[in-house]
Amino acid sequence: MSTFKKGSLVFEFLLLIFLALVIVSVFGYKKDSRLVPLVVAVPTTIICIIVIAGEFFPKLSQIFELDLGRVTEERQKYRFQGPQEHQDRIPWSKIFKLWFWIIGYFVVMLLFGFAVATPLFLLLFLKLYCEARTWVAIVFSLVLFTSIWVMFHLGANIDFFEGVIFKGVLPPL
Amino acid sequence: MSQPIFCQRLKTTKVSNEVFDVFLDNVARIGDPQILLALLGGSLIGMLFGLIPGLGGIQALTICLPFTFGWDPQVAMFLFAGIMGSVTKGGSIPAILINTPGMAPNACTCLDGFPLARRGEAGRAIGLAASSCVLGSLLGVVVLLLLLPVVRLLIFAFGPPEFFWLIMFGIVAIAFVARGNFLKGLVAGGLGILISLIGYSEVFGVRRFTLSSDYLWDGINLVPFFIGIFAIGELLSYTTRGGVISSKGIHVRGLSSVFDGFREIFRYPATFFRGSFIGVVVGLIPGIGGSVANFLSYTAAVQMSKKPETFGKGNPEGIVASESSNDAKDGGALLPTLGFGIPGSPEMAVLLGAFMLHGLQPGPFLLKEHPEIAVSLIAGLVIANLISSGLMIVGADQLAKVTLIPVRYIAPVVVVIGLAGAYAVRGNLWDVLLAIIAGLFGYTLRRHGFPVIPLVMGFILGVLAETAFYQSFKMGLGSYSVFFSSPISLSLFALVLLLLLYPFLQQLRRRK
Repeated sequence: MSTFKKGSLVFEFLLLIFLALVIVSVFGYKKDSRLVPLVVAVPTTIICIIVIAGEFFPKLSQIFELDLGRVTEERQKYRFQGPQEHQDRIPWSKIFKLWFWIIGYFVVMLLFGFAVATPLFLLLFLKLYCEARTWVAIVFSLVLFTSIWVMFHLGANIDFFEGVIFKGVLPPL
Repeated sequence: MSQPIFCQRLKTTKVSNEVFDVFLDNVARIGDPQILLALLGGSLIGMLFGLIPGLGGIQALTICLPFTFGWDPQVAMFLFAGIMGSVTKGGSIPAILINTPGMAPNACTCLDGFPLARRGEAGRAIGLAASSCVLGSLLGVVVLLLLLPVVRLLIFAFGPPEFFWLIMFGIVAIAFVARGNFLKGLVAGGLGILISLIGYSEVFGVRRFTLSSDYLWDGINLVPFFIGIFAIGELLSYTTRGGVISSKGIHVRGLSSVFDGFREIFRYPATFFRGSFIGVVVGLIPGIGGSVANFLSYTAAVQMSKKPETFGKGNPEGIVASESSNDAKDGGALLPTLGFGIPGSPEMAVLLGAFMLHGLQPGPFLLKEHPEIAVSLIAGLVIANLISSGLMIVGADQLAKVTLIPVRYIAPVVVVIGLAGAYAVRGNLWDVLLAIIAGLFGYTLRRHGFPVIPLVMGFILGVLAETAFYQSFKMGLGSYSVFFSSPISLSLFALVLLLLLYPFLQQLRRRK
């Protein structure tokens, strides 16, 4: 089994666990309110089990690979690469690196507020991740931050979060 | 008892007149500076997102969604129509000038557009693409206007059981047409419905799946969820690709060649009408995107041509086939979206989210209660096509320069605007975190072959499906037979069953 297949299997098992938890928790609700969640969650769980079984038995999986007309064939003929083919080849390390940059932006926003986090994120991201020249990074981040500030704060009258350090009040989680 | 034929004719004429009256009222409103600005802005944004390979109409609509919060819904619809009407035109410019389709539906434009450009006829190709888009979209809109009164009559027959089956049909149909494994599409649809049920239920007066969180009391907010799934999720794969979209391109020289190309469409009426017809039909089928219309139309043009060997080498008919289907599709796709709340294309799924954000309930009642919304979208689509074609003719050369920006520079722009938008709707910082988490979730789903459009469909229609289910259940005094008591319910149920059984039928056919 390829690394990618293993990854798919792990993800599908996680989905199955999530669905099982949904079914278990639904029984804690009143009869009327659990009806639709059950009507949806039970068939979804069964289908998820078939999907997992399909990872082990490719013939089973192939039944559900629909051949709608000749479109797929035609796409291959013209060698058009859809997003799926491309995504399979990206290593997770690259994805998480970028995702943690975004998480980092959120953490700084939480602590110091939007006005500090945004230009800082833009500057560091452009300089370190995009490897842009320093002056390009500075000009780009200042122009973009000013545009967003004007659009949202002055244009739409939205007060951005000030940051917990600057006494910004966090909504309940 | 059925009505006499003349009564039905009278009713049809009355509804048609009503639709056309609303249409004329709204056309008159276009002079309103707010609407003009929304249309212009939408067209420009759509073109820019279309120009940048990897981004497209879905991302443009998602990013703009929070900005429209609090706007007059009609003005917002003009903005969305502006985006939808111009995005494929943006995509055709890099397809012709740099051999890179801005979006998947422009893929076939490269095949003949770029060879034409290389022969020094870039202006002709741009002009031809512009006229194919405008006339194709006009044809799509005409078909839509003709069919709307019929659909409007049909929806009067819808009650809660019919609506419930309609939603189920929509979700199953979209899983069915999504690329890859049908079952994965169904799982995604189911997940979408379950996610939509998180939070306090006004129908039952209980909190569900909130894990004792105050934040989840209000459920998963639509805007940050969409921004996460479509903008952040897409960006994760897009940015990691890196590089520059193009380092060199072909230039358009002189406006006269563009105008010559614009007029040239009248030399290929058969290709144009065939492409537009394919576009409209594909648009009418729920969930199928423009790329399918594009490939089908191009293939049909090759097969019907007396000189098929000239395709792929700069045959102008290739551009007409590709671009006319792309834009005719929008008119067709609006019909199931407006009439039944089932998106005719992936962009329309985001549009349904926009309806919800503006307090408009998608489904059969939208057309009945808010015909002005439908008309704003139709009128907007026509005008946006004219605006964007004008922009394409005059500024294709300048617009193509956007593709010279390294893709990595686009990521921070989308992240910052997207997350600011996620925050802006409710002023809640946790919505930003939700968008980031939804982004990773959406990416992971796509990476493992689970299409996200059924997920979004389930998310939008989940609560509506639950309400319809509960109302039907009460109507039937606790009996499930209410779900099978009308011909429409039975037909929709049969369609759902047919789609679910289709893989097995296909298997049987292959064995024979």
